[in-house]
Amino acid sequence: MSATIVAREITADHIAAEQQQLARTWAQPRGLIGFLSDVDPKRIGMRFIVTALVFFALGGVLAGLMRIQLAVPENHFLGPDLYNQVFTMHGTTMMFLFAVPVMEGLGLYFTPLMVGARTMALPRLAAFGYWMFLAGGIFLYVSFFLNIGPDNGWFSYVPLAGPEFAPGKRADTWAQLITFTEVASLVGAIVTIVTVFKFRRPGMTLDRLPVFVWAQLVTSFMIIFAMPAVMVASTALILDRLVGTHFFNQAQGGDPILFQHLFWFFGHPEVYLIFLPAQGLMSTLIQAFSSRPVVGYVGLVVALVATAFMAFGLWVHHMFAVGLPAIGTSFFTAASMMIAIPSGIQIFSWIATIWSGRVRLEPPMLFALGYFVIFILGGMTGLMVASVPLDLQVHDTYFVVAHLHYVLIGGAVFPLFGALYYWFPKFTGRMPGRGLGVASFWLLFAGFNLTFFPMHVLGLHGMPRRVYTYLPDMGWNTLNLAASSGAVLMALAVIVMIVNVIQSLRSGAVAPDNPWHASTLEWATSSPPPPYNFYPEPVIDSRDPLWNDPADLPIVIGVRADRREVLITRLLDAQPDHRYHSPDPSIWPFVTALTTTAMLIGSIFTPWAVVWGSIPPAIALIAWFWPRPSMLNDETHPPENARPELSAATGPP
Amino acid sequence: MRQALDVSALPSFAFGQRSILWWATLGMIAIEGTAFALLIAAYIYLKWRVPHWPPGVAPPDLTWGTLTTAIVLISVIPNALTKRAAEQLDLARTRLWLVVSFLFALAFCVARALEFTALNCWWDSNAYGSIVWTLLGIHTTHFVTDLIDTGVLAAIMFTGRLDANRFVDVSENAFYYYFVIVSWLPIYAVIYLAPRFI
Amino acid sequence: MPSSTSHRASFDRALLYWLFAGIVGAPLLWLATLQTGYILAYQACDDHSRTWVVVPTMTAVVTTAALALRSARSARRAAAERLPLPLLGRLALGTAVLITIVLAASAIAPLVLHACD
Repeated sequence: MSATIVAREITADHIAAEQQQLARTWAQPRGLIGFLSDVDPKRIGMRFIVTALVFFALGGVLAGLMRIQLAVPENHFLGPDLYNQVFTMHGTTMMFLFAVPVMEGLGLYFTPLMVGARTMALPRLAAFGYWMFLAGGIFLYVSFFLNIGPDNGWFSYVPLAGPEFAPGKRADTWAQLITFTEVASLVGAIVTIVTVFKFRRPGMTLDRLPVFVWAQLVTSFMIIFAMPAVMVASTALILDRLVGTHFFNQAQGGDPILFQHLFWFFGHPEVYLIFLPAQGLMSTLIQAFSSRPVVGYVGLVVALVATAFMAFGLWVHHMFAVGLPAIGTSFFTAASMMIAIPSGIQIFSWIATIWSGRVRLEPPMLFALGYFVIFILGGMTGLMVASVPLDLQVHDTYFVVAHLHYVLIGGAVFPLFGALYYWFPKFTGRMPGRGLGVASFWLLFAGFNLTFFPMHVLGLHGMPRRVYTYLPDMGWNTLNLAASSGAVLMALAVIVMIVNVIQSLRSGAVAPDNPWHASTLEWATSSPPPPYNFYPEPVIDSRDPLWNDPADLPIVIGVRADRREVLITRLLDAQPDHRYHSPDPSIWPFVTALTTTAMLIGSIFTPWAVVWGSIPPAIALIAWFWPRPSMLNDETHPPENARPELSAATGPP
Repeated sequence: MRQALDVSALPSFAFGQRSILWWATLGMIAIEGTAFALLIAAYIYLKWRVPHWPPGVAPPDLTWGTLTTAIVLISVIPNALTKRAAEQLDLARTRLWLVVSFLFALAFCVARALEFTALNCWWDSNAYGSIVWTLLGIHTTHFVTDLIDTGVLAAIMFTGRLDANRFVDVSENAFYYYFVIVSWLPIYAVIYLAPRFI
Repeated sequence: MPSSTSHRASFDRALLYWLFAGIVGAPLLWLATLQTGYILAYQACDDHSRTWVVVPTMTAVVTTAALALRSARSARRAAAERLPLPLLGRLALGTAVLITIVLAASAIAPLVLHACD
């Protein structure tokens, strides 16, 4: 009952035959039903990425509208009510519908590839997560166009968003969107953790995991402990608005500050959910384009783990102006400053890698270098606002807007665009255009700084956030005009990127397996990868397999190709443990998402929607899990005939 | 000739920490456990802000709450037996104990429905009522979900196509049920004991 | 390198638990101290005494420092054991040391501020 090393005659014909069989078994299902039933994590990941980028463009358009309105004082382009909706939609879109889902999409696509697996764990759950994300986004935008989109900011504070001051359905739309996106994130987290723990190829011990995979793993743990807080906050908000509970009603013993605590206990880890995968992307890009392994692997992993834990202890820094005791808030000042230490460890490791490597200034590396400038500036202002006295002066001014965009765009968007460029050949089989890539980088870099640097000054000169216009004699005119001009450059950068994508898809050079000569496993298969990811599958012998592994390592054989089978390995040492029949494509995740969407939308109108509306999803879930003939494990069926040695005793994970 | 790692002799299913489903269940437990912990923290936060708690009403009656607690603690036994039968691939005993577990869960749900009538508060009277009803309501939702899970699994074990993976499903459902039981205990303490003793 | 896997891995359970204590225990202790300190700030003002906040924080600093030392010892042992444990050992040590520094930083303000600021 164990795996053994054998000597086999394995010819090119054997390999080709096996690949053909695997291609048939793992083939993409056809037609509309096939599209809705697909469970391939590469395709689900791609859907997450493309959908998130569409929302990024929409969020960018909303930002453009804001900048047009604020370009000159006393402008009439957007009225106050519409302006409130626009900045709420911008923040909600960017935070919930772009930043987290795009990182999740990259994780779904590349985590199985980087650990050398054929697919992801729980693929139907991942598919369900995508449909919930898409449904939530569509729900939000349809509501916006129907004039019931949210308008209380992306964090929707009470009492402004409560039943007394926010009649109608706008705040409910926000609260229910949270449910959609939070479900999508949570399922992605579970899928990632199980994949990284149990699906690694033999030989890929924990200290050989790529840093990107560590980042996704750590982020997934954060999601599990952070998302429930926003779930509780948004549920309590809906309950207060719909059925008359008093969680946040001071007159009946509730407390609006409770909402802030619950929201920011999620809200601060949320920005690290965006930021940690991006740090994983940075390690990936810098390693590849410095042509050497990252310096200080252990330090980078410690930094990721430490950042993840510490992110949970910072949330009160969003509440410094609320009136909490100074000794209490001082803990959060200390923590908010100290979290710069792990970031610093990472930055110095990357600098050391670049310094001692052979740098190639391809566009992905340019974006990675852009991170250093922009994110470090954002980190500096972060240290500033971590101090209570300073924050009390700049809270709710444009200084904070500048800070948050410097850390989010520098810390996440730049590495993201670098990574999308880097992985474009793997996604599409075509090389991206270099000239347009370089141009889009400089346009984005210049445009970003022109847009957001003036906001530091505007904030220090007293311009508050979330105002739809300002008076002409405040002294803010020039800087606002500068910021709006920068936005034009940023829009141009995005347009250039889109043109680059279209052009490269049409006529880019055909991409080989490993055009960048990188070291991680996704480059050990074709571009794009076949549906079964890899065959043959040599065991792993080092942290950078494509650079360091010898050519004649044993390959894994004995995993069935006539059904979707994967090899499950042990958590600590990646030794083979058992074989597992991976779920086939199924329409039920889509149906479950559809019926759940109906229930959630109904529940913002009546509480009975939860009761009656839960029946269709329950039926869909039962259909999802009901055993079907194609999934029957013929090696253990019927169970009375199961060989005694198949009675697996519990062992080490 | 080249070397190969032949895994064909490995089993094609596994129980406990070796199984995918165990880890997925653990993830669900972590998520829902965090939600419960946050709701309890919200209860303590709201209690801390007012001098009299519960404000203006008697604490929830102990009868039904203690009865549901007793039912749920006793149901550990059929749950453990279900899990063990499943891990031994014993179809007859798995069927028996699944049905028994289902009946215990059903009894619990009936008692829980009555428990809601004896809380001495309404969700819309004040923040105290809101948090008590929400705590109880969220736990009930989890319990009802597990009841349906157990029922469906029982139906599968009697009528569906069986292989060893169904036994893994039963074992993991029992694992999740342990969480539903254990998560009730702090909630019981918070709803029933805290207003009386703290 | 995978070889015949008919034997079960013989990881030292006690070592594993100490390693996870370093990785997970130190941050959890820090989070707990954060919360208690935040809540006890109100008590400190009521009693006009910073002791309420300073004592728990100092206790936590000492505990995580001790945990860091224990993790260092476990890390040395882990380096001699099988493959993934050296990484876990260094993770435990790194996390425990970092958290000790963070807690020490947290301890500064309560020593400087007045109880009812």
